[in-house]
Amino acid sequence: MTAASPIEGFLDALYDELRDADAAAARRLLAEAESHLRESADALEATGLERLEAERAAVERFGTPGEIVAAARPAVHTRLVGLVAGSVRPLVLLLGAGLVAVGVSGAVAAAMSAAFGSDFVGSMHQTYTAAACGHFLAVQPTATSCTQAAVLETSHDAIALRLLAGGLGLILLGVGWVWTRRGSELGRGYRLSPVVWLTVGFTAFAVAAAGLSVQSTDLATNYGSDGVGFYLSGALVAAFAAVAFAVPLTRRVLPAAEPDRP
Amino acid sequence: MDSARLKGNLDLLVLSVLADGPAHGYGIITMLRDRSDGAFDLAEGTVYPALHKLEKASHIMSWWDENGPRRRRMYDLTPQGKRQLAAERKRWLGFARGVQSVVGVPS
Repeated sequence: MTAASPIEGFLDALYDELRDADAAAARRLLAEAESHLRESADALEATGLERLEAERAAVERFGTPGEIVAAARPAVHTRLVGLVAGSVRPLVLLLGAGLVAVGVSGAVAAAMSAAFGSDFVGSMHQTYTAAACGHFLAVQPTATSCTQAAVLETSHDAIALRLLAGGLGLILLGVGWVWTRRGSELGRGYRLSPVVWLTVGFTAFAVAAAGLSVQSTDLATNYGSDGVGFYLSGALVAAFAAVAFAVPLTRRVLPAAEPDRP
Repeated sequence: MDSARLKGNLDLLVLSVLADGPAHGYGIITMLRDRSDGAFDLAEGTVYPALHKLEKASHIMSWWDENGPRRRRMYDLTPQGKRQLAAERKRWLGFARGVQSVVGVPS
């Protein structure tokens, strides 16, 4: 676009250079630049220059749009720190959400074990060495056989370790929440778009749900219900989490429906 | 003065100009040029990012002045900015004395 006034032309060029900048900061810089250039041109015109020449000289003294924007840009190291901080925060929250989902799957596994028996969660259809059997019988003294001890131990581990992971996830979510609430300047302006982290979250949980469902189906096909709960508990929670990410993602990606006009 | 050296000391120069009272960007640039006898002739627009950075650091404050033919963004030192200026000035004078004693005064 060409402008007859050198000042207008400069402001258009500066506006183009500022397209990636923070909107409020860009608006303020443009307003100050215009005020400055017009005052400078007035002063030069008062010395006897033609208006057009005065505007050209004022623009020349002001510097190029590139110079102004480069001076406004944070130092490279600040940008790098900001980029890392801006990426780490959503990663902490996503990792926290993932671990909490694992914890919830532990609770679901516990409910399944209580409802359908330890075999539904803990049966792994494996042959154990004598040493492994010795270990299982030692940690599960109520078991009457190696297989039963292995089932009880696997079921116990599936629940306890997942709940532990869930606790760690809650801590990470807490860290992410405090980080966000504190409104740290670190990383501001470099935040990942919600569409990006919602897509990452949805994809991770959808892939996990699909993989665990395949495992559950495979077990059910080959061995009946024994051990199915180990994977099914995870598949159910992952599917629920995938939907939880998909709903806000869909709202952001799909344009809002226009209301019917009368 | 070369522009890199000038930019490195722009914060001190801007704070020093504002020590005389509130001013807008164009006024600050004009005072810098006048008080340096034209030696400090930097691209005028680069003073605004410096002003915004100083404001973000709470060394100066700003407001729109609607009185007059044109709306202007005015800047003034904050108490923190006055302390910063005193510290920067002390550092600069110490540095200048050191350089002068090494380089010497031309005969």
